[in-house]
Amino acid sequence: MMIERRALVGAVVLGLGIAVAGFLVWGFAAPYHQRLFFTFLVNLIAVVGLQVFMGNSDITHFGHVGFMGISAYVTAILATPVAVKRSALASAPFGVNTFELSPLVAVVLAILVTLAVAFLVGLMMVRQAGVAATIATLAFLVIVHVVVMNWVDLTRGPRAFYGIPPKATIGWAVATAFGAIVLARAFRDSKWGLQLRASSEDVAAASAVGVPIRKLRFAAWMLSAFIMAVAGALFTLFVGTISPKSFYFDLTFLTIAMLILGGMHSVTGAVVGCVIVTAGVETMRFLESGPAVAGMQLPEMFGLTGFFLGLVIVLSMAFRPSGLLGSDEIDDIWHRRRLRKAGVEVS
Amino acid sequence: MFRAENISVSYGPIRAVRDVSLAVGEGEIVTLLGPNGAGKSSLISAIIGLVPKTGGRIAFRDEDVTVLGTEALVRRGMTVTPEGRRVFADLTVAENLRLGAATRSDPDGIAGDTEKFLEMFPILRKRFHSAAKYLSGGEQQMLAISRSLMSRPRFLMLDEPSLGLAPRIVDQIFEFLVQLRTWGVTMLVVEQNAHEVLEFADRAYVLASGAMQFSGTAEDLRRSGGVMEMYLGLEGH
Amino acid sequence: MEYLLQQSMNALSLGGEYALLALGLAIVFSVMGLVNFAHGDMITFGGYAMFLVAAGMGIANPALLLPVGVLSVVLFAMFLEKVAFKPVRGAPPTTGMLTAFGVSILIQNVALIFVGTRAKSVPTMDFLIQNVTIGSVRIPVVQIFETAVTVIAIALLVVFLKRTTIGMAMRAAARDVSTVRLMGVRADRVIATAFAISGFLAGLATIFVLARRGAVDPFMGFTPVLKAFVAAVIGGFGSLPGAVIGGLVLGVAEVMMQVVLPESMAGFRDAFIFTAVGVLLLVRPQGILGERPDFGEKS
Repeated sequence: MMIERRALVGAVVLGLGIAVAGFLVWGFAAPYHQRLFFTFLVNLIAVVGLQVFMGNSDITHFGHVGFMGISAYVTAILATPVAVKRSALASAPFGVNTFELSPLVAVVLAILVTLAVAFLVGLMMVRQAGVAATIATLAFLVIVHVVVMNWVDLTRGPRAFYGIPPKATIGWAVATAFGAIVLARAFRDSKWGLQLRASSEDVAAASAVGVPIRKLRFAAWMLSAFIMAVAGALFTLFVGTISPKSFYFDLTFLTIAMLILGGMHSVTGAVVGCVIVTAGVETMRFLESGPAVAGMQLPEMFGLTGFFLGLVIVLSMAFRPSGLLGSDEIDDIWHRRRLRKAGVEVS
Repeated sequence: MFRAENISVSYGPIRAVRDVSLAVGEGEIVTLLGPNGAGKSSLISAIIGLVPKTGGRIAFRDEDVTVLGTEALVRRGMTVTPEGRRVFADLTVAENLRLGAATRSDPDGIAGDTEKFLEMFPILRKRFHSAAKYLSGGEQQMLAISRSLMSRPRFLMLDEPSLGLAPRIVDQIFEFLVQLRTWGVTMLVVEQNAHEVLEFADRAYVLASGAMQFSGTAEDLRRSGGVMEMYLGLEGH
Repeated sequence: MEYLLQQSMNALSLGGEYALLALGLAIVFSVMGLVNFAHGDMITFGGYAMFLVAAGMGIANPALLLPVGVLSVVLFAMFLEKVAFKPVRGAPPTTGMLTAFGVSILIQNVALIFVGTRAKSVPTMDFLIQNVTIGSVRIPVVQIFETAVTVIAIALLVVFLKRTTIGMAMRAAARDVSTVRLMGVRADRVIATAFAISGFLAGLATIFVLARRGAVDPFMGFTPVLKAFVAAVIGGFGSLPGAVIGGLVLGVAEVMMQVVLPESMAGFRDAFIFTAVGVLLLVRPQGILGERPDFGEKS
């Protein structure tokens, strides 16, 4: 994949913004805010991963969090110390409670397992028309959830999986987010990405000129799954405790709302949406707990966060269906501004 | 009885129809001719309210109907037999005709009209209970026109009724249109093939590149070799 | 033999429930191309309406309660159409689908905020879960009732679609809305009717969902409607007969899984079924009755 210089600059600028924020947080923020920032980065990587598939193929994807879940659990199972697993996973199959791997090896294996699953699901996915494909992704999410919930010997089922070595740092997360953004931009602006985006606008025309839509869709699917797998592993190695609920509808709603608000056809949009929705959700969490604001005691309102996310999606669709940024990337905006300054009329 | 003034239609930045006016008098058969892509279908769709007009006014039977939607226009007695027939493929012939009369609530009248068209086109009676998709192109056109007439329109616009049909069938359809005039139906026939339609039309308009290029009697048009050749690719005489 | 009869009854009634829901999804999709992810929340709404009437107003008579359930869902479906889906009419399918998805999240969380997560029981439905004994076979009332209601509802729907003008218009609109408008039929009316029917079918399903669960909670609609979506995909998305067949196939598959799977594996049932559906779609991407072998059409 060749990446155009302008796209590369755009991706690097976005990445640098995150790096600077990361440096400030790492140096000066309180532990609570460090955690918050880390979660933000994981969500960011996930939204960028989602963008890779949804933004290029124009198929709504509700199953992306399932890939995160697979990777998170595989990482947890492999990297957790034997001492913990002997009691937590007393009757584990495949003897997974008799060994532990270094986190890095565990992550690599987790990504491979996730990609293997993505490969199998992808075979079916790329043959579906839009609507059926979307429902298939939702069914996939449910399958992952059901398996994690019920394979108690391996995953502890609905109970929390604890004792995972918390090896991930903010530095790692920043580097990964940076890499995810560059990868997503590289794919989006490559010949493949361009062809795939064109084909989702006009399938007949694209196949007429010989665009291998299925192959391209499959490529986007796999790359997306890869980024999701990295996000899942990173999350696990930071929080140290996971449960099936971490990778189900709450996270799905959150990441979808982020992507839609920002604009699913744009990587910059994914980042912008992630920032805005994170700010909104934190505000809602605060209000939800029934705080006293300006001397007034607000009631507890569990569900406010979800309400906010639903509202973000509905209002985006009603007033700005292509999101805040539409199909623009950060460098497109600059480029246009420069042209305008130079007095060239642009539509 | 029908008058459209300064109609414009745009699709995004593309202006498909620019400031076009036309009028049709009670009992007339008027034809709207023009090459492929001239904007004929856009004009008809705009008149009947299926695509938005960007400008212009429409009057029908002394009433300003510019702002009315498709459904209201049909209820007032205007309708279109769309290009490419557009019969409801999965519905039977009977159901197609019944839907044509959707605005009416006189079962006896509907039954009577149905019978009338079945007399006229016996093939429709033979296929009365089979799905419209199994009809041939000509049969579908007969069904489409009959379906339009089921709403008892006073003004019928036909969009390329001869498209893709064998000459023999085209003759049959055009004969039917001439007969229709005696029933008191006023018609605007959109066509690409000028020759045959000019034989029975009273007046003609020629539209090209979204603008009106000619208007006059059918006789005038036939004589003006220049217009015929330039826009319709035909030798005048 | 008795066991077989019991299980077939079980499969039929469950399949009927999925068919009712899948039909509602398919009708709305065929008329306006909307994938209604808020379909499940219509069930939730109906459940709460029945809970309010039963617990709040103390009306326990099923002859009153059941119509309230069905009617509330019909009205709610029509309300959603006017408020939420009209603005995105004619938009690309993705826009409509995501709007419905957002609406669904909104409704769930409004329920969370105002009534909380705790499930509320609706005991009036108990009469449905009693058993009747026919010969030596014991069958829950709900299954007989559900199978019968499904059959009657589908028959009524067929008559409606075949015999009434608006029914014909709905079938025609599935392929060509603008020509339907040329017949003088208002698109608004066709779409409103589609939602009303979809709400009616979902309202019937609500009663059975509620009878099986015995309680309402903000997420009660999700699982049945996910199954209905899968059923619709099995049958071929947008096809009405496909929705019925898909529902029945799914119902039979579920009951068979229940019979075949050992106790320890019972929790994996849905995972197995969905995976099997995935394999089916690998072989036949357009579903059983779907007619779009053309790849990638619609969004």
